Amino acid sequence: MIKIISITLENEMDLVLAHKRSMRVAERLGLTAATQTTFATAVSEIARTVIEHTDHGILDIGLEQNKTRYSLLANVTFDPGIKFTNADSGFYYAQKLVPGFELIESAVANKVIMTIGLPRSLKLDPLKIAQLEQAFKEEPPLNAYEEIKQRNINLNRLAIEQEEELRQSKLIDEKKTEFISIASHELKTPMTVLKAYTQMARTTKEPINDSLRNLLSKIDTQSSKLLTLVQQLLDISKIENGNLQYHMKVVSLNSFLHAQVAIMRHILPHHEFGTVFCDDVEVMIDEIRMEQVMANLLGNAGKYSEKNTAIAIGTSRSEPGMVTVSVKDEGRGMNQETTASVFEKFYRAKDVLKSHTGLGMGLYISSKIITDHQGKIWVESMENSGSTFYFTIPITGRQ
Amino acid sequence: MKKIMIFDDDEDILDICTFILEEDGWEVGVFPDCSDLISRVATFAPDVILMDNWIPEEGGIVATKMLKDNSELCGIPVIYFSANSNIQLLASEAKADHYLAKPFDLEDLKDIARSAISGKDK
Repeated sequence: MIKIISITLENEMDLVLAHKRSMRVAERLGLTAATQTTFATAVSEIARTVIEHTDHGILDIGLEQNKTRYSLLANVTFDPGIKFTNADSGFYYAQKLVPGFELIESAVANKVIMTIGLPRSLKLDPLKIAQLEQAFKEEPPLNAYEEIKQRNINLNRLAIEQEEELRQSKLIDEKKTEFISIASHELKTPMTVLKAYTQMARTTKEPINDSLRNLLSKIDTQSSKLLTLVQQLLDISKIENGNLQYHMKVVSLNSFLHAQVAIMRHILPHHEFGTVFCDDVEVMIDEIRMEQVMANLLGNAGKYSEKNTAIAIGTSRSEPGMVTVSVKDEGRGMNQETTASVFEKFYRAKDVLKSHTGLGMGLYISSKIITDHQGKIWVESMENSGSTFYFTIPITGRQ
Repeated sequence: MKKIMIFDDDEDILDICTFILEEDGWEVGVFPDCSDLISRVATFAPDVILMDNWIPEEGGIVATKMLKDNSELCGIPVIYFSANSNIQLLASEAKADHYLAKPFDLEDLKDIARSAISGKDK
């Protein structure tokens, strides 16, 4: 059937719609006034009978081509449990009105099909039918009830579409998370093995010569670098996915920072580290993530400054409830443009692209971690006069 | 001799751990999956278990919980083992006693195995 209009049958107001719409279709097709009334009456009789039993009926009016002739059709669909008999007066009466009348019962739905053959003189063709379909799509609502009903249908359709969209995007998100978890495992396992074998070779009791020891040490350094990059890429995927999780714990800030500085002294043996801390405070942090921030800031301080220069780590209390941590170097510093963009993802200053390796992930991840700790991160810098990175985090417990 | 059971589906990891821990005086049993987990653990009677997060079939969380829900085996310390950066959360969800993040330092592997039996906290 080429459907022209469809009306859900929920209450008496829909009977009025069913009647008026049936009239209108018959009229537009060019049927006589008598036939229009007959068709509309049959449709509304059946619609009334359906509404007496259920508010789930649906009326479809449309055309069907039968060889060279077209018929006007009204299908009324309703719940399979509902049985009509001739005792239902509307059902009985409608059968007398239309030439074609059929009741189809099935397990899924019951259906009444009413048909009126259309005279060839109407000269229906696909183009005219398409115009008719279009006309009914554009026809204004018959009354306020129909207007509300149409809006309701549109809203329902929108809601269903949005639900589907939401379901799809959830699915994609789940797939992404799953991928990151698999990638993390698949990339880190060979790294683990590589590092462990290197370590075993370095510490073997069998004699190895210095040049081999040197090579092994280089393999170890490079695999550590690779591992950091893999970890950063995975972190970025997690940040994008809103999936960076924290395991918060109360720690004493000064001892945490001392430990970080001690580690970095080994990694950057040619820099002088100095610390100026205010009275100790307790902070609620994810230690592993905060270690990442400190390794990033201290690592950058070393990376962008000359050997035998100083790196100063300080803490201070300027804002109530917060503690500020600073990392100051005596390095090359940054111009204004770089200072403004240095926390952006994958940002690398033009003047260090060739001279210093990196992917521009570290500070982006650090800023995300600090923000997630309810803190702020910023930098003060001038070209050739060093940089100072600052971040704040809330103080917890006793102050 | 103290006994350790290692569950990991990666052969190299099993090799490395065996090499390092045997050198450190452990009797090591390695298992690439956790089929018949309860009966195998009961038979081997380890002092410590090292459990990988991705162990076939059920995964480390389910496997560790099975051990911790078993009244006879729940006392055996389990070290949770994973490359996942949320390892702390995974380990606590599994009710494991300790965790060791991959990639690990060989010294850390020895330390954590030792400290697990001395009843020290992570």
